[in-house]
Amino acid sequence: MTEKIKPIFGIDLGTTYSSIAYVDEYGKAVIIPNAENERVTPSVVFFDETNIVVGEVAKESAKLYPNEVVSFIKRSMGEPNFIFEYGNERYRPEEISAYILKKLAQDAQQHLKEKISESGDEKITDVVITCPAYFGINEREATRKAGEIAGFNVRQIINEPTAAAVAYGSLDTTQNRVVLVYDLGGGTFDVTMINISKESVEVICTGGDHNLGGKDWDDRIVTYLVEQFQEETGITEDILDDPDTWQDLQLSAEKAKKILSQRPKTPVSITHGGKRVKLMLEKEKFEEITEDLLERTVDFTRDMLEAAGQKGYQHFDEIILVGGATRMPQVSERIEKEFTMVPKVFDPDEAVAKGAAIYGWKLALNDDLIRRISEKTQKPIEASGNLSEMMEKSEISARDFQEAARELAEDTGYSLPSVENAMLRVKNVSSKSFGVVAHNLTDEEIVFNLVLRNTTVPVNIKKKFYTATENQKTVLIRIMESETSTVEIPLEHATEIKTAVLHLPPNLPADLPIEIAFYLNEEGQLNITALETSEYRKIQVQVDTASVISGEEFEKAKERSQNLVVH
Amino acid sequence: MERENFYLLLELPCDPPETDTRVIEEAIAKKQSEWSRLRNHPTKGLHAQKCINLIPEIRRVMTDDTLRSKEAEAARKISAKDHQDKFPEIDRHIDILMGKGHITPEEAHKLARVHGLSEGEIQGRIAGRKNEKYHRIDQQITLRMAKGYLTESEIANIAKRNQAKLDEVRKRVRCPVRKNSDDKDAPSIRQLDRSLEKTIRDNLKLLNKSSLYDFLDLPDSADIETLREQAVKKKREVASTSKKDAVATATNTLAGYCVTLFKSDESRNAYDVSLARTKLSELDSDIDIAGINGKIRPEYFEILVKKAVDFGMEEQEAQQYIKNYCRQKKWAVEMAPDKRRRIIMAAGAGLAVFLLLIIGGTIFYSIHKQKSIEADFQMLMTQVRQKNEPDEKIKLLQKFADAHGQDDNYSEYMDNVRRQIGAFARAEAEAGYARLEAQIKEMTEKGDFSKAIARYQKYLESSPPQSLVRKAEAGIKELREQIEARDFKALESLIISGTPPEKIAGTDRYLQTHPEGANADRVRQMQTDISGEYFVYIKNELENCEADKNWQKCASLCKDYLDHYDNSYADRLKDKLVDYREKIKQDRILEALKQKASQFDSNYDNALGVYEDFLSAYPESPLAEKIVKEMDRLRELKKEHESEASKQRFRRLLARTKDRFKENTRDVVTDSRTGLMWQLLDSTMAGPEKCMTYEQALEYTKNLKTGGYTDWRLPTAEELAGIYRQPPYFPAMDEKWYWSADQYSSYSDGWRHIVDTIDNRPGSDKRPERRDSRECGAVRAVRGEP
Repeated sequence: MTEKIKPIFGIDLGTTYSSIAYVDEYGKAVIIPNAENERVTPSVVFFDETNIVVGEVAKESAKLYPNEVVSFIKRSMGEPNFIFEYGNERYRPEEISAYILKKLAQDAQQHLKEKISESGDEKITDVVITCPAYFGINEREATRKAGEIAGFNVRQIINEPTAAAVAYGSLDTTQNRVVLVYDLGGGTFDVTMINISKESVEVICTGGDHNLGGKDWDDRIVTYLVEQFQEETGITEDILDDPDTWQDLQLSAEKAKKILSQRPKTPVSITHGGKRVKLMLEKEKFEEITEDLLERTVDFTRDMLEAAGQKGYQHFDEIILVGGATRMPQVSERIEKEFTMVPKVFDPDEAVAKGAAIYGWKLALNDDLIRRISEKTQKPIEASGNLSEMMEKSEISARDFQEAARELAEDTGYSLPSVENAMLRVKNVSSKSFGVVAHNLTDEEIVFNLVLRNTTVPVNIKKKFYTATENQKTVLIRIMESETSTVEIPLEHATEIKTAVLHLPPNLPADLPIEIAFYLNEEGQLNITALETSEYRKIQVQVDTASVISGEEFEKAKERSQNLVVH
Repeated sequence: MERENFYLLLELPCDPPETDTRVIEEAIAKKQSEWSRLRNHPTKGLHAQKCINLIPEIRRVMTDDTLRSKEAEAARKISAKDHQDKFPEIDRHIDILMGKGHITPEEAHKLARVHGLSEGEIQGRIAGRKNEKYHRIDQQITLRMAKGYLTESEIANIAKRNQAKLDEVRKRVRCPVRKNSDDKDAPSIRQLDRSLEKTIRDNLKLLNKSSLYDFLDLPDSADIETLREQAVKKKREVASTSKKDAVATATNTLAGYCVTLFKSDESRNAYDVSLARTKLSELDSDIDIAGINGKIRPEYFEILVKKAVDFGMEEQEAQQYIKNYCRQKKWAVEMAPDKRRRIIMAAGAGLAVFLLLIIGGTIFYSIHKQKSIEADFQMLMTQVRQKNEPDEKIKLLQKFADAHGQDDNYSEYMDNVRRQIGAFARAEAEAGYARLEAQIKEMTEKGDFSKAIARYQKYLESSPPQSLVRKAEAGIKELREQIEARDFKALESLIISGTPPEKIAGTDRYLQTHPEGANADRVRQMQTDISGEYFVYIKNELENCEADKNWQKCASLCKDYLDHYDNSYADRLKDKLVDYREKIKQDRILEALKQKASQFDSNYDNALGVYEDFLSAYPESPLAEKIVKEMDRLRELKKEHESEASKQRFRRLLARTKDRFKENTRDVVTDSRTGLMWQLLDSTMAGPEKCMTYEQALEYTKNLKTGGYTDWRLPTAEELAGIYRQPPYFPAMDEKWYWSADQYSSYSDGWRHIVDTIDNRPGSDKRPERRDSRECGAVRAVRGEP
């Protein structure tokens, strides 16, 4: 008999393109094409009166309706003041991202329905969404919120390079190796050192810039084209002030970039105000005007390697290139020159989504195994617990586990080893440092970093604060994110991402230590708990972040999304 | 970088400032949406992102009344400055384009874009420039119209000067044009009646208007129809007001004039000519003032020319005009020289009469005076006889001589008076000298020769008679000889018993006071005789000062000898002196370096930098050794300082452990939970080494004497972890990990020695980590029972 486990889908929510994948009945990760039968969907949203259109149509509409189209929304994730206004409504980045997610899921659902007619209506509920390793706490939370607005049960937010490494590792798990994942996407750049082995994918170090990606290469072409246009026509005004021209050039630039990855030159035409200029863009020129961008990625890579070296990792075995922008031949050429190693271009557009799907599948197997073991042993087990941890702590016997695994393999038709591999351990590091505002010896406000970047997560840090006055009512904690590896840094080098207010019980004495525990989980979510130390009562912590959609706004967005069909 | 102004950023009016919070909030929302759209613009994206991030700050400032008003103030300043900066440039551009006589709409459009202004604004500016230009042209036309007509060449001139077309100027001329000034065929000019002119002028003055055109609020170039219409309108306006005051009357009157004068071109022309004349009359009245004395001084002339130029004349034209005007009035433009001579002759005659009068009066007066003079003299003589002291007598006589010495009437008595003064004075001087001699005698008896000489000298300063001067000088000479003899005697005994420096000083002293003394040569010989003795003394002294490194003293010793002698010993000291001077120089350099370094106080890196810079500039300097020593000392101080700072920091951190860790003995911390005593500072902060291998760590611990204890040891990994694992923690230091006492041998890849170490950074799980004993680490030593 063939039983099915509830699948968890992997979604690569990219700056320029997004895709969705799942693991099929043969245990293989596959990309699900969209309604237009494309494997990737442009992350572009077009507000067409009452309709929301996502994907290629939206992207093409940008030329005609530049003010109704939103692109590159991922770059604004976690930016509290980004607002897209359409009609009388205001949309936050989370909600716009939700539309992209919705489109992916909707199309995938439709596709699966057609393909596997016998399985009836397969509704996508559980997903794993990826984000750049370099995303901070707020950006990750925003990504999760986007998934929730789209109506998903977001099982986990995992890092794109980790996902790529999972996909890469799943190809051949016999060998332990240290891999450098160079991920140059549409809008973000990540470089990550990952230790892949049979039982684990362990991130050693990560670095990057979430404002550097293929789009920057496009922008350089745009700027160049504008200049050429001005030179040819003698027009001095900024033709990019015209939204139509801007969008038109943006698309032309992207096309030119893609062509130049294959050919030595490409014709481009620029039209503005009734004037039209045709010119030939050559590969050399393109490389010349974007050389510094490529150099920046190399710098980030060097910095990351230095940090890895400090952790004792002086060596890596391979470099894999993921992300669409790594298709530009100058990227692999430059990397090869820098590290005297031929990088592997690994499924640049799909690796991340596939990795996320594999990761999701393992989560699903894990859930199923737990269910089976729980039924077998008549013991309640946490539904999404960590099996390998439980086994280590002898909460589960190896025999029960093997039995459950065998049954699962039999019931589903998956191979036993792959089921047993569901215990894949993923170890992550924090890509940013985070700390709290404190006072130093000279009583200046500084940021005291509790977790330095590249610290392995989850991590639990306790810190004591002292009440200043008797019967103090509240304590305000300002949580700051930064990109340094120093413990004490000036306030201006960090960004406030959250504030936490402790509501203290009444009648506490002055100078009473309050123990605050900061828990940064493997997904980069931050939880805060606090205890007062006189009677060890738990203190209510109210975490406030304006950077991520929440409260009423969140509910409203969710409701709006529920009643919406995305085209 | 200064942030952008929020009023300008939000494009809100700042003068008067928008204060309605609803409007401001709307503007913010509008901009937020706009910036969000531009967030990914290829060139404006960055600015947009920056603005998006500014929104909370914008909201904070713009909703706070005080901050907002400050912001508006700043915005006003910026806008004003922008305008000022912009307009001269725009005007210049307009002038250039107007060179051809007009500006095309395309040009205006381009100008607007170049300067970032609306086309309307540019058109306004162009109109303003045009008006200004026309105003200048009108002014110049008006001036020349005063004669009733303009010549062709004048028109051409005006056009050229204002970069205008001939036609443009001609259109504005409201009087006949002649080919040249003596064109006989030209029509005659009708002139406005002078009285009429005056009435108009007076009425205009009342209304504070300059012309009928001004009164009608129309330009001088307005056409006749418009002028008339406006005049009628004015009349009706006045009629409709119930108040009939002076203003209303004047307005009525002027409106009436307007209707009539602007009836035909001819009458208008007459008015224009009159107007021009009024204008010129202003200048004329200035010339009248300047020529009030019938002449125009050169400086006035200049002022007048300047004024005329202001009216629109050219300089030459102005000069000519003023000269002509003066010629008509028969005034000279410069002062005539023959006039001046006449004045001098008249003055001479007056003076002669005056002198004659005075001489006559004097003769009469002198005869009358003679008798009373004799009486005066007799009276004086009586008074003199009554006085006892010669100086008092002299005083009386002198007073008389001073009072009447210049008076010729007294001349016959004056000789007598002067003779008496002389006699009394001589007697007085002799008496004075006798007193002096007595004092001197008293002094010499006491041996106070110098005092006696000083007394003589003081006497000489009082300018006594010549005979007495000679006597006093002889006295001084005698005294000096006595002093010399006494000094020489003393020196002779010193030469026998004194030390070499005393002898040298003695001879020096003698020769200084008596360079020409009777025994000077003998003394010089004495000095030569002691040269060997003195050299031996100097040599010994040099040894002492060299030992003390007191180069200054050494040098001065050498110099002292060299000042006295030039012999073979001196040659030897000369070489030494060079040497000492070099040493002094080096000392000074070092001192200067130290001084410079000391300015940095506890900023030792900077202080070290001073020496490093010197060494890199003068690597061969003889000071190098000393400098290196000084640098070592500074490094030592720096380390102490840092260690002290670390200790302070550390103690503060310890204080927060709520009694768990206490520094009962200096630099030793006791853990109240375990009773173990820990080194306050780890080896990196306290010790001399940066980091140490395990072997060095053991050695270090063995030799440690912190707090006076000698039984320091390396802690076990468990002990070490214990102070970091349970709260309150031992404060973490910069050091990442510490050696423990737990060590193993390993044979995995040749012989290796492995030690457990404990990580002290936050985030570490404090489980022992095994490290090769050759790695470089730090020690936090402990004492007490394991």
